[in-house]
Amino acid sequence: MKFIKIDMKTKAIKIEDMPEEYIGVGGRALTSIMINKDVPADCDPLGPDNKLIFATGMFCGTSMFNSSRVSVGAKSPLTGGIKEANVGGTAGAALGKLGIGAVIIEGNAEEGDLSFLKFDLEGNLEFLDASEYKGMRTYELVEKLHAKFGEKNAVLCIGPAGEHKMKSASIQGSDVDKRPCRAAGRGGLGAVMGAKGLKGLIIPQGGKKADPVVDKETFSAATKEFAKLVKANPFEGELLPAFGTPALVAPVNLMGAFPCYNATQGQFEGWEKISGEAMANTIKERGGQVGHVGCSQCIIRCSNVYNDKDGNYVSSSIEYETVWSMGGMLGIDDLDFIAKMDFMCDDIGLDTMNTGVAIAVGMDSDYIKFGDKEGSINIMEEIAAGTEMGHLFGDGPSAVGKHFNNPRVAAVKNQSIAAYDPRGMIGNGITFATSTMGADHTSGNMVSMYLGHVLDPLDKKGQIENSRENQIFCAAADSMGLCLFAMYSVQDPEARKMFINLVNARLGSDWKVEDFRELGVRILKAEKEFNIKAGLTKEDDRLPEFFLKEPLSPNNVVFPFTDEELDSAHDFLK
Amino acid sequence: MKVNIKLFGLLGIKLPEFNKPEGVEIELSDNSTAGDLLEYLKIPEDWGPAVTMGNRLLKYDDPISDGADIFIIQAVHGG
Repeated sequence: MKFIKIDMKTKAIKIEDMPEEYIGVGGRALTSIMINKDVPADCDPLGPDNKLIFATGMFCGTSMFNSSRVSVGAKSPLTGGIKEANVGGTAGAALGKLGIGAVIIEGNAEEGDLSFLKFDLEGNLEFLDASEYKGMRTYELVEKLHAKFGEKNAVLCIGPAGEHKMKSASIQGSDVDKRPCRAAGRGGLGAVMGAKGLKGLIIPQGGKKADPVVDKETFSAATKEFAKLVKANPFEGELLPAFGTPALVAPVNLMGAFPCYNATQGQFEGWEKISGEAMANTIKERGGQVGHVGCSQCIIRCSNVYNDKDGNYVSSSIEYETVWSMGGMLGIDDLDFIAKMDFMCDDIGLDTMNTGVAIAVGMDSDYIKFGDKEGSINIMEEIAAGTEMGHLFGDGPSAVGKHFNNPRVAAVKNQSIAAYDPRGMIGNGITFATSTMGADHTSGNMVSMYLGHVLDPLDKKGQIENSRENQIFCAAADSMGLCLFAMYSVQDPEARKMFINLVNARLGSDWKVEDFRELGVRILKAEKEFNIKAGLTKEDDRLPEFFLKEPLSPNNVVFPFTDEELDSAHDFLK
Repeated sequence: MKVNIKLFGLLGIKLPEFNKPEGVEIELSDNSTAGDLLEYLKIPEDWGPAVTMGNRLLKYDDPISDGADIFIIQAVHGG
């Protein structure tokens, strides 16, 4: 596997073999362990000492289904701690097929200098001047890059928000249909990329330099068995292709845990207009697509393509979290508006959650009114233009709350929560509070444990232990290069054994079942250590006070855990 | 007892006779539980059903109330 170091200041490119210490640790494991080791924790996240690392997961480049996730890691300008966000689409598989394990972006380019990194089919790369694309939004950018270099290129890029170094800036990835609609959205990694002067990575698909699978026969047979298992699950096999992640709207809302009107209510009166069922009907009526394949080698098909009333493309893919952040959170029950905001986030290069919650805080502060669609779109244009108010909203909900002196900011470590109110799903509250990443649903989501009758969402019993185990599981899962939906099956003990066989066939290793958990622990230890060195303390592992004091309708509940109980979630990291 | 049920996820597609936008009223014997309701509707456990009433998730042996609005959803992961 290639290990590529790029110096943005001198434009030097150094291609080495993967160092021994990182062999077999892809994705989040590589980014977090390396950042903890090599990035000065007290550095300016937008300064030259920070590193931006792209790391393919363990299975990227193989024939494994759903194996196109690439992890992006750095010190986060949003949280001030370590960050990993991973993105699907086509880039992970493309990099894997070039035999590339990691691309480490070091130093910052001279102010005003903007470049692309363009790879060839041998896995070599060159700098290209990107000055003529300065300020360009991602859809236009990717269209121009495909016209110039060919459509069989995956692209990872930033939009204006990243160039403005805003703390909600994402890194966008192109999907199977060549649209930059997949995002490493969280933590402001787009701002780090912008600070380094890197507009995009252009990566040819169809490479033949992948690191070989050691035991091909076992790997092929086990992959087929694993695929059967994933397809047999009613969620991955049926619900996701039918409704996508917006299938979550009804369950979460009916539990009273759908935060709306800036998390002042837990149930949204207009939820049936924006549910997964309603969206699927609208999409079908307009000639859009549910069960869409958005990522390379996907067999789950959770993506969708949303069209307007005239059948013209609006956005892809509308996810549950965006339905919430641009819908319920703003008091808006209009799918067309949500789809437009989703498109604008992808196009400008913004995290939909942090951006929607920032607007919600603005609404809660009377900057604009709840339900104001035009005002929300104007804010998005201000972000794109980089005006003073645009910078404020582009820096996320904590910045907006500070500006308006409004403490009702649903965020931890400055990163917005996702679409689960911590008072209505208290285990998710533990994850949001204690995750090394800031509030993050993909760090240990508990919703399936509630709907599967394993835990009661409002009863403290078992929540801390299960949040802890979920956080460990997700850290390891984020290192595999498979999407989380495929990885959920691995929570089953029998499936875990099958998966470990796949790992061993892939690497020629001798992993035991417990080694998967050990990898998760190792990652979280590295992340926690970095955060402590960066100055984060226990006080940063807390939910905002209003979650502890303001009862959430309709169940009139507050977040019930003490500080000591929260701290116990990470006892194992001491 | 009579309850009004609404189905979500694929349940509405799999059981079209119980799938109306305003819900469907059904009659069950007194003291019925959430599990009894699922059995009446012939919804097997491997479809991952979850029953909500009054903004709470019910366990399968929890009683349901006469006149209640009941929503039946399917287990999902978050991602």
